[in-house]
Amino acid sequence: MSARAGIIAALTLAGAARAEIPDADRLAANQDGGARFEQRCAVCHAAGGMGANVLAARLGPGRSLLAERTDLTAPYVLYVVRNGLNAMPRLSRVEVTDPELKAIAAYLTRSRK
Amino acid sequence: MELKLPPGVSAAQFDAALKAFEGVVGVDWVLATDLDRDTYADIYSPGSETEHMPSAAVAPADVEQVRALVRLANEHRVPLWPISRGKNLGYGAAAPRMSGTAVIDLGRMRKILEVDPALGYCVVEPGVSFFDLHEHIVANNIPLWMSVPGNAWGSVMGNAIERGIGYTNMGVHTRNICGMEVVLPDGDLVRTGTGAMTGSRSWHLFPYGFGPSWDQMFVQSSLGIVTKMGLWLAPEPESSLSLSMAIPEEDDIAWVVETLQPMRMSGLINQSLFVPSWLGKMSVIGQRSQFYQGKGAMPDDVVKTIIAEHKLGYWSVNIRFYDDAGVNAAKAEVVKRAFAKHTDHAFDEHAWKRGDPVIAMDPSFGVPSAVPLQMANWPGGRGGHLGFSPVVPPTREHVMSQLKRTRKRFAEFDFDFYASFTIHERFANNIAMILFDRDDDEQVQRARAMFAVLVADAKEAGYGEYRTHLSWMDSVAATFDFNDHALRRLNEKVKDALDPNGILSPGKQGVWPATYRDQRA
Repeated sequence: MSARAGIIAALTLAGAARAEIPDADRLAANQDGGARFEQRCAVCHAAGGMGANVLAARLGPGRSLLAERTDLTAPYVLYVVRNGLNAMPRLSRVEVTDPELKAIAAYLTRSRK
Repeated sequence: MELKLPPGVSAAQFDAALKAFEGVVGVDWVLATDLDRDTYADIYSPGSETEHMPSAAVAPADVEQVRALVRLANEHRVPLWPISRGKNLGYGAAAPRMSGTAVIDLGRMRKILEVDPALGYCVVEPGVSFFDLHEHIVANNIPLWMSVPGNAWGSVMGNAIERGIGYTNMGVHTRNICGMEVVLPDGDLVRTGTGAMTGSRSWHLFPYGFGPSWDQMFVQSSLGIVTKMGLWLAPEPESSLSLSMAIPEEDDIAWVVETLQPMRMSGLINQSLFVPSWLGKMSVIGQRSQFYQGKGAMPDDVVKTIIAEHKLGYWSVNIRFYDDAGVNAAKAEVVKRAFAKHTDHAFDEHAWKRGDPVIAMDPSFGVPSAVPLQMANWPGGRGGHLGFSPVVPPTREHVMSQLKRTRKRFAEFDFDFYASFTIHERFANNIAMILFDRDDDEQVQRARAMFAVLVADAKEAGYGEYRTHLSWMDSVAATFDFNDHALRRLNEKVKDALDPNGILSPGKQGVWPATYRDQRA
């Protein structure tokens, strides 16, 4: 598989079944942060995505993939998602609900536990 | 951001409306904190976000909730601004034209209702993104291809409603619309085309109907909220062939357009042909400060060096055929012979057959990507971008005069020049992208001043914009001035008849309801 084909495969897997999540589940506590990250964030933050590319340029390739970072804190993740950062737009509570965001922040900071 | 109420609406009236909205959608889906308002503001705003500040957002789950909200908005006189996913980036994103308008966010309505592999269409709700639909098609092994815009983070339906364009054989997205379900400003519900017949078998096949046809009435419009849309998709070809070439000089666009347009019109090429200038590729490779540290526009010699070092042309052409392999090869020969009259360069040729991986970064494959949004990062700081988007005749004379005029203005106002022409059968979408640093107020003011001049220049030359940012909706609408703005009179007569309280998208595309007509810029 070529590198580019690999990227598309990754992006496709990342967002699997995103459309079908029931609203009640989106508002529930204790969601699967890894799954929610794949569904809500990976189109930009998986390898080859816009966010990953921009972070690679700004912080270096080693810190370009959020899911592999060990230096993120939950308040920082929450802040950036709702307030945006540089060219990254803010995301509303319809796009990522508060419980989803909490789970995503927990997932991205799992190495600190 | 602090609350700004809709004009003429008291705080008590507004609170009562929000309470009533909560009764429909539940407390979790009425979003009215300062931070909520920020998340619906125009993140790439050329200037203060307060120019187009929403008062709140409300997110219905289904069409009945949309109808109930519209009725309540009438009752409480609170105007609504519908968004599908709010990714109209560069044109105002999710923000409303008139501050104080409440966003009705249809992002929860994300059902893919139908995909018909045999007849090549889908039926989607507003919140379905290009990624959602693509994943559905791939997961279900459906032999259909989509057409996607450059930045495909947004809604399939929303993009078609805003007349977005893509780069495939189905690239004029608004032309792919076939049959809508629409909530009218009084809460009534209609289906357009043959969908008006209960049990219709041709709603998403025959785009006209019996009697007047209304689909385009709801495009770039404030006359209804589209809750379902049929959209045609392309059959997955057995094979495909692309011809790519870096076109070296700026003025080469003249022969490129002159060569390709007749083939586009005859159908030899049936793809919307995207011809971007060098900055399109460079803005994905890095930020301008990596290549040039000076302030103001990059000097021509620096541009020439960058183009040479990165083996780019001033323009790039990517032609794709979507037919049987033999047909593709024969068509490619015609194109190659025509190009050989102007250049010694050979095309980079790439054959694809069903089962091969597609190249996600090649928009002519119709695979969604958000990577082109990286261009917003080009200027540094909190990057912003603003698309100036006139429609020009695809001839040597018009393309060159539009190019030179715009190029001169970019130099005068000291911005890096990024333009593209997308060539269709009988028109070309020219998009000149203004990339600016939102943290540099002087630069923002220059961008605004240039935009106003570009609109006036285009009008003078006889070109109108097909789409524009919120801040210029009134000035662009004013350029459509035949018979002392007869079209505006018609639009506003219809608007007042269908929406007497002016509650849907006041000011969208320069159409103001009587209630808020004094808000026109």
